Amino acid sequence: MIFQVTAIGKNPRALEATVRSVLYWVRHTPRQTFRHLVWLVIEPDGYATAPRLYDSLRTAGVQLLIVPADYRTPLGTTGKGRALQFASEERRRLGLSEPMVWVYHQDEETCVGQDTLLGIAEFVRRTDVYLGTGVILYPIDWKGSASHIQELTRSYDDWRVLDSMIHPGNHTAGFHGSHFLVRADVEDSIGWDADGYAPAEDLLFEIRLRREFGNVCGLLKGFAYEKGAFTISDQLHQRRRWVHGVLHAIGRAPGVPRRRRLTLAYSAISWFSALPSVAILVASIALRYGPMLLVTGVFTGFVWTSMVLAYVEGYRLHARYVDGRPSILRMTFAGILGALVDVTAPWYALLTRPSLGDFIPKDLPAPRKASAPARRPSAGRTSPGAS
Amino acid sequence: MLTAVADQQAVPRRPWHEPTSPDRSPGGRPAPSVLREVVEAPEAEASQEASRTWDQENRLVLSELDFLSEALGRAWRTSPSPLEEIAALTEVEPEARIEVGPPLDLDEPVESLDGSPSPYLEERLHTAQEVAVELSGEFERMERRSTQLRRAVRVLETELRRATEEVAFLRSEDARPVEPDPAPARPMVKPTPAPAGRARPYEGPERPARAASPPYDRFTVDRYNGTIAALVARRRKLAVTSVALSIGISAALLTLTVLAREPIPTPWVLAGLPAVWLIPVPFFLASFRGTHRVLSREPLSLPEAP
Repeated sequence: MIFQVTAIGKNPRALEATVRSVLYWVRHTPRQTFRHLVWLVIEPDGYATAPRLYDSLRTAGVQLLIVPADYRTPLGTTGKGRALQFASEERRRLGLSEPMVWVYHQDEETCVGQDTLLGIAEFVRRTDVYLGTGVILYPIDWKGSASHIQELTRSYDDWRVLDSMIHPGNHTAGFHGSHFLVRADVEDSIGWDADGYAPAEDLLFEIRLRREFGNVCGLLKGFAYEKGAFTISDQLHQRRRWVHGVLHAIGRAPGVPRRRRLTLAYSAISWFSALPSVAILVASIALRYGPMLLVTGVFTGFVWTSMVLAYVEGYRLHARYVDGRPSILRMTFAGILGALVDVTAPWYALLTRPSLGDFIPKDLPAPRKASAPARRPSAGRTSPGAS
Repeated sequence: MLTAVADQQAVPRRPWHEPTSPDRSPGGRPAPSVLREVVEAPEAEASQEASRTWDQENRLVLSELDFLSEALGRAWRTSPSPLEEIAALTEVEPEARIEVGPPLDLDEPVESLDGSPSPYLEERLHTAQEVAVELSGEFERMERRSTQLRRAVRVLETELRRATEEVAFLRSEDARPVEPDPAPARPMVKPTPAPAGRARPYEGPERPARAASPPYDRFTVDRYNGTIAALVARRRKLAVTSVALSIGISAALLTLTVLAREPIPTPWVLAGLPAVWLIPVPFFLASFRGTHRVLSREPLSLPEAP
């Protein structure tokens, strides 16, 4: 089992927590039934941000793979796909590209738990599936901000993603770029190379896998634990990258079957239609288009219920992992704000240039230096910031 | 090899009661008329002629057997038994393989036992060929099976080696004292200047200790099972509530619309804008169905950790 963390490497603290979570739980999980390697695949720029930290991880048993600056894939892909292809070629070179080796893909902030490892241990005993993915929670560094509240819906939506994944055709086009497990020889036979920059290399990989091997996806038990975007701006940039990935897969990626293109196109249109729907709702109130509800009203209740349910059930999934329950009022306003960002994101992506790998900070900003304690010998106290 | 044997057996011995026939096989061999002439010739001359012909015949047959032997390849050469077996088979009683010829007419002149050709030569040759082909097939099958066996043995050896490594690994893990991994909150390395980009430089030494335990130590299988069990337990209630709420909200909206008595907008508004509104409805329906299907059908809990 290779735990492979692929990232630029510019979020060293998040990366360290991710790697340490693996090292911690492989030690504390009984009946694991697999041997493990931890691969950290980063860029030279990322290594330069904290070389001693990365060296300390290497000392702890992590295999550090720094993608050479002059490395080129055969098709010339860039971004994360390039690093993934480099790791794939390394596996081949080391003779690890075989059926008994599995690769668990993690992003820089994808921590694992005991349940993740047990889920992996159970999954790799199956012989009918080559790829598994599961539900991701976002409890790390949880603050209850608008972007964090919005991530709750993603966790509940993962059940839809899983159902779609394990059924033929993946009819609602769901996949993850992290927290997925794939057999090494299968992954390496498909590869991550693409013609130029592929913003959604994970989506293309899933499409190629399904095209080559059919319906070989299974449900991976156990959660993965990540962290949401810290700010609205980061959330917007993250969504923009997703939109660019979907548009790339629809329009320019070769080898995508027509049916998958249609599915992706429908998903994209659904997403794009969200902002006009909000506009229509506002307009119908202002312009007194009330009778329009005679047509839309039949499903309006269902759509609204589904959206609210995603927040409520998403929070319930996180309830055992986050400290401090936000008030309902706060959740409501934060949810509306986060939803507006998601609604706006596809149009923002359409109107701005394609991002060549938006960098999303995942390390909490380092706290400011505590001010020097006031020297008051008589009082004998320090300032609160120093405590 | 067989040619050498033929030299030694240039004059084959035949049982006295073996029927003789003037017919010879076609293909460059003496025709019946020729044979008759040979029989009518003076005895000595006929005997020599027949002996030469028989010798040639034998050489022809054995050269064919040589060819077959070469074709059989390595397996044939390593085993001396096929040659003996073929020889034995060709020497068996002909009744066992072919029809018996007409009974011997004692009034007819008896030709030389050494010089007369065998009437069963063709059949024997055919038999030899059949046996050779059969043997060849058997050898091929044996080779295939031995290759498969060798492959299986290699896999078995690999698996055994891996199992040994696994056992050694597990034993070493058992023997090693379990030490807690350092929490990520521990002081780390000196800050290094960040390269170009938006990454925030790491400021390890200045970071204060935040928590005694890392955040991931709470990610246990018990919590997972508890979360999943609660979700699965309320799934049905969730579905019923969702449908009831949907119907309620829609009914309320429709009622308000009717009661509001607002003017009907133009047809393009009434047809066009709702179409935009309704685009994601199939997605929501598929999501509802998929969520409840996966929660109801898939076993999601994990075995409790001891």
